Amino acid sequence: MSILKTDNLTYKYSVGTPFEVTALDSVSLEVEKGELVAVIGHTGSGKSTLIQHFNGLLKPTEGSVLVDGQDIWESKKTLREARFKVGLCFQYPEYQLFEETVFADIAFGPKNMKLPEEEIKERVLRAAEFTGVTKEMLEKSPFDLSGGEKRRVAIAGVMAMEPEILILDEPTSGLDPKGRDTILRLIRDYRDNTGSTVMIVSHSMEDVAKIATKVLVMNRATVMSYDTVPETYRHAEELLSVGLDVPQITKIFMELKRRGLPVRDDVYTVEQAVVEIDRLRKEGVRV
Amino acid sequence: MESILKFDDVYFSYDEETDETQGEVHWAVSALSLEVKRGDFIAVLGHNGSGKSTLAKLSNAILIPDKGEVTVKGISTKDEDRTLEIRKHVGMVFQNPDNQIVATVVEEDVAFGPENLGLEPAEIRERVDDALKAVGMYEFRENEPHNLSGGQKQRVAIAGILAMRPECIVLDESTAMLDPKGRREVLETVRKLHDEFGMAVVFITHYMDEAAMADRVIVMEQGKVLFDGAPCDVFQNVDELRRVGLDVPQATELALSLGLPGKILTLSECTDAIVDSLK
Amino acid sequence: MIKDITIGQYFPGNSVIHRMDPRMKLVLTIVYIVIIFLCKNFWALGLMLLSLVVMCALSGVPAKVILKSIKPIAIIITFTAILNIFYVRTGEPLLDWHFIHITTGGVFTAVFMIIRICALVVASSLLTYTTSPTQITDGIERLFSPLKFMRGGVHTLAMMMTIALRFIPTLIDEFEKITNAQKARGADLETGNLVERAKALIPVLVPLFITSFRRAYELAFAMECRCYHGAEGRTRMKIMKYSKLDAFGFLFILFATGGVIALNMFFRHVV
Repeated sequence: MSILKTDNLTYKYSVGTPFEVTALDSVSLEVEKGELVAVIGHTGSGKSTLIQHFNGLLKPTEGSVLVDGQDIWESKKTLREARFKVGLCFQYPEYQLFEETVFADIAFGPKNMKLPEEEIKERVLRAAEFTGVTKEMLEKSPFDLSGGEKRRVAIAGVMAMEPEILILDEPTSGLDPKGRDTILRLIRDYRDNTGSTVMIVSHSMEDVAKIATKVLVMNRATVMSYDTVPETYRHAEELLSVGLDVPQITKIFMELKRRGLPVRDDVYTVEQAVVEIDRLRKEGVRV
Repeated sequence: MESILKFDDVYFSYDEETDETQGEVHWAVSALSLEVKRGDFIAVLGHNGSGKSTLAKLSNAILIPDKGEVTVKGISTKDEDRTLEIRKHVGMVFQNPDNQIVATVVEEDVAFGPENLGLEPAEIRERVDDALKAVGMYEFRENEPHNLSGGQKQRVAIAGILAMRPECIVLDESTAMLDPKGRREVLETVRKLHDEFGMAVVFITHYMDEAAMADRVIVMEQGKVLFDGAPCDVFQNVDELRRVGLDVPQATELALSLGLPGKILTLSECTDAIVDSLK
Repeated sequence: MIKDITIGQYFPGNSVIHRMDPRMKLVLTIVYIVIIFLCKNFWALGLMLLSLVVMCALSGVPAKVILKSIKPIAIIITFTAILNIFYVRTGEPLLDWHFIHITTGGVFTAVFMIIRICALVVASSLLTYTTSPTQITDGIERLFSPLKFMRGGVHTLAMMMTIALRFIPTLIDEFEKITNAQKARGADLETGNLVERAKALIPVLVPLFITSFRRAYELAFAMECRCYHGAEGRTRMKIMKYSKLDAFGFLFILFATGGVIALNMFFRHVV
């Protein structure tokens, strides 16, 4: 059974005013348990609006959202449950830190879940270890940390709630390549070790290619495609036509194909590219 | 070409005490020498904490070197009486577009700099209109900044600097907070300012694809210059760049992995080289 | 959306009142309020009321919108009226019942006060309806600029006002974002008693303050980089020039003043 399902989900801003905007237009989607889904699309394509529906921060204008088969808007109780089943980490999450110590900040979510003291402590330590937050850092004020460290603490704060679905909105924005790689690695490890479902919203095609198992492409308030990474890049032309970017390697291979070389059309990493060109060389393909 | 900005063996530390006899000093920037001439387009690449933002702040007297000297058109940044003159010549655009817009109307914000310079109203009007046209935001001149997209706000910030008619514009990670569209807008704008108006540009970033668009790339690491040269030369050092936490264009990496000849930087160069190798 | 609500209830338009110089509008409003208090009888007050109605009509701001500005002070008006009715003992008695004594004088004074307060509120609202907050700030700064000794202070104040106006929408945005982020971490901001709710706001307010300080710090840097150094030697792009409109406005208020003085003298009896 799918862990997350939307059924004809429609959302409109400022209903009944001249400024009415349809941010989501009957989106039907099913996400299987354990997937690592990358959500891509322009600013304003509806991707941020979509993820805010998954934990009930936004209420659908029409249609429904089902987490674990349960309609989250059925009652107050189901809504509250959805908040904890679906952990949502916003963009620039470091700006939501507020407690006196890093420990207390990571514990904020679990505390709101009304868990026993012992359990809270265990969860905080577990999340801290995952995100590389050291014992010393736990005692510090979150405001004394570096930018990258703060980001990890904030992510730990959501992970400590141990949600069945972890959603991160642009977790790497503003970070340098090193910081970005650290965050991506920890997201992948988290999913591999816990078997949780993870969704990341991203602008960067290279990030997507590195860690995702599925790609959800949003365009103009609708789902344009939902498929595996290679299948998504096989349709690179369509992505480019709506103004989305594809990895440089994919572009190079599109051009090679256009020039008549018999290359595969689902290549998107340097390693895959080397293998493919070597194949051409071995087979003695000539231009 | 005329020199606009010059770093001469510059040292700077954020530590309170910079007396070397007191023990080890942590230099944010050390032994930095650099010259920006009229018409240069330089990208400064480095990870966070590599000293690239310190370099920016040293260039218009926000920070003053502990040792060595920074001069703007011959004026030392140590000369406190001439700080305004320095800032008129070297304009700076920052990372967060929201935190550098002062006024509630676009054109009034662009006018802020020239107003501080005490120019005549007619002169300010002309400069504001020119600057807004140069960044393609003229139609938005009466809008409220908070209704604009990130890329548009950043273009307004650039216009605000342009209106002071500087000789050099320093962009300190001005694309870091933008989406791909905003980044493209800013890059195109900066490129245009350089190509059409001959503005010297220092573009500080940690995105290698942006650095690849410059005429010259300086890679900073631990406050020092690690590489300095044309993008195609600098990016040949794949392993070294990776080691200091930076990316390399995929085209360059692929070409090197395949052992293709020449210094490849762009997609089309890479494609051509692959095709050539199969002939 | 919440951020679309502008402070100072500006009602955009291009009427003659909108186009008047903000400095003139400020002065006229102040003069108008002073004259309102100089009115000694209904004739004088009527004249002022008439001129206000004319101004409102000229502004093109709908009457409904203008009258809405009185709503928040309805309690004050009622309270003042009641006090006057019961405590003023001049004129003919209208009602004498146990301890309640109402006289014609009391009723007249009450009505007079109501009209006065309403006129005052409507006049100042008309200023904010037809003048954007930025213009008002600018107007105040320039009105005081000839006074050398006050210039620096007024400039700083005006600059602060401008920046506050500029950042209010940004901070409202920020507030929404942080609220959502904390809600996603299970924060309950909607239930509980007053104390609990206030406490629940801490996770929102602390980050908001910290972000604001960071913004202030960065903005100060950016302003310095754009050669900001206070009022000294600073010019402005937009020149404020008094036009014919302002001259008319000035004459208008001059006649009104003259009228009020004449009426005050002609109808000697107060109220």
